[in-house]
Amino acid sequence: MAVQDKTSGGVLYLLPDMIVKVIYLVPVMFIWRALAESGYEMEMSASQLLSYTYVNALLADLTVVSTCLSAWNYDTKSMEMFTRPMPVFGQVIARTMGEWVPTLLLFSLPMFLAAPLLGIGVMPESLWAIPSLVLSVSLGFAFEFLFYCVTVRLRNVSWLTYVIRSAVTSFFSGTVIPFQILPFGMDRWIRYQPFGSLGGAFLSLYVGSGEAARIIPVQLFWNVVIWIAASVWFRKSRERMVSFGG
Amino acid sequence: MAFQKGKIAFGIKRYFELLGIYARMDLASLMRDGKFTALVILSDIVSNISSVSGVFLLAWKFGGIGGMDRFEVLFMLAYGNIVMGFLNMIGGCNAIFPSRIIGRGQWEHMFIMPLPYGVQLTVGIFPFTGSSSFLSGVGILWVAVCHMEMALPWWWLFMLILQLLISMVIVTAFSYLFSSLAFYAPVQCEEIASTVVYSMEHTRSFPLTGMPVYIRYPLLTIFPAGLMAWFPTMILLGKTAAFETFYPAVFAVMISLTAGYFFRKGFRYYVKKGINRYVAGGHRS
Repeated sequence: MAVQDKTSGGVLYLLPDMIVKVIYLVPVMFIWRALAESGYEMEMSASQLLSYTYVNALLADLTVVSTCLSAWNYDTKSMEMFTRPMPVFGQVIARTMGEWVPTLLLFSLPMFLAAPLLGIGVMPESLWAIPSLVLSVSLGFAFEFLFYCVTVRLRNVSWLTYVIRSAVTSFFSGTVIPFQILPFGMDRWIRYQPFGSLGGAFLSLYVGSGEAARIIPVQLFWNVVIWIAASVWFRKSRERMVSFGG
Repeated sequence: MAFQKGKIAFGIKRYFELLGIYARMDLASLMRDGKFTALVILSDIVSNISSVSGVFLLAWKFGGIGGMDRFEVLFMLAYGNIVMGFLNMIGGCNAIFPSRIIGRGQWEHMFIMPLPYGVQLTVGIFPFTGSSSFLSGVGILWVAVCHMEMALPWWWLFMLILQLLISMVIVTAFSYLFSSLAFYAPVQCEEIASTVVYSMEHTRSFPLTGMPVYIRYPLLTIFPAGLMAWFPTMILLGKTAAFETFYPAVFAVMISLTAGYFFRKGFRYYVKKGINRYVAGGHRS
């Protein structure tokens, strides 16, 4: 159903999103290449940086999860879920994972296969990247429910919640700029904040710039904490939900 | 003749009255409760810091990126913030994202309003809730200029304002060009303008100096994110050839004319076909 919903207008309408991803990807990769060639000593090699950015583009939906709960309530998607005899959490997760499928098949898979032709390594350096990805996705869903509660509590100011969430995750998840290359030794503390266990943690394991023994326990810890917080707060907030149409 | 002049004067007066009404509504929305106000201010601060921090931290660590020093990179980031901040402030009611208005069937609402389309689109300003990016951009630009070693001629400020206006025209025209598609496919293209503008916004923060021409040229023509911050910055820092100085202005004229042509064409199609996007409950289909 989610795949049908995503492609109901025709697969062609997915193309702009894919083109935009490539447009964003190319300059970042050239910046890494330029920095690597400038002779500065970096904590990550050029090939690691390129793989980091490339894999992030392929798995962008998974590294920082975004569900229909992030959308505004005008289309009743969130309201509809309360009328069905199924858990809301399960519906959101199933629907979101279904929505990933077209992009994974039509964009990520071809780009993955094309990577060797571009000279980019896309094979994981450690198999710990797989459980790390699962934990990262799980934490992403927990944050979605948490931010949904913020939206409900702020009387549907979805835009404000969206701005806070996007701003925080774009920098603090480490998916755009790896923590390891930040100045002032920021990586020593920034990796331990909760958003650091999203895509950035998985990507550093994937390209071999992080250690599983240090990353996985932190991801587990934040999963437990944020899921408990999200469940409790969601239970308390859901009856306050309103939808005005739009 | 006197009647015509009076009519124009009344129109201008009415325009500013409408701007004032929207400004008051925006202030009222911001001040409706203390918690909300604090959250808006906090989110804006976080958002604006995040938008420039990543690339600037990289520039700081590596002493600059691609031939631009730290404060030149900061200047470029601030320039981009001013462009998007000002557009968000004056185009808050989706004037900068017309595909949303079209895709939601709201363009038809505009038919019955006793105001020209241009007025309806431009009076919906958010001078208070939407000004943070603009103000932070101005502040960061000031810091960057103070740390640059370049001696600025007297006309530099006017050049800066002109380049900012040109960049804004390019972003707006590009958004309207893509929004023309929403007249034909309202459901699928409702968010095409935001996709295009936000993609330009994300891509604008990369210094393109030193990148190969096959990357730089498309970002200055087909997808002109380079004209949102990088290229105007190079002009303002005196790092371009004399003839290149006019390129953004020429591009702005060309893209505006193209957008105008396709938007009118789409509009004519829309007038014949219309749209039906709402279900009985008031929600979008």
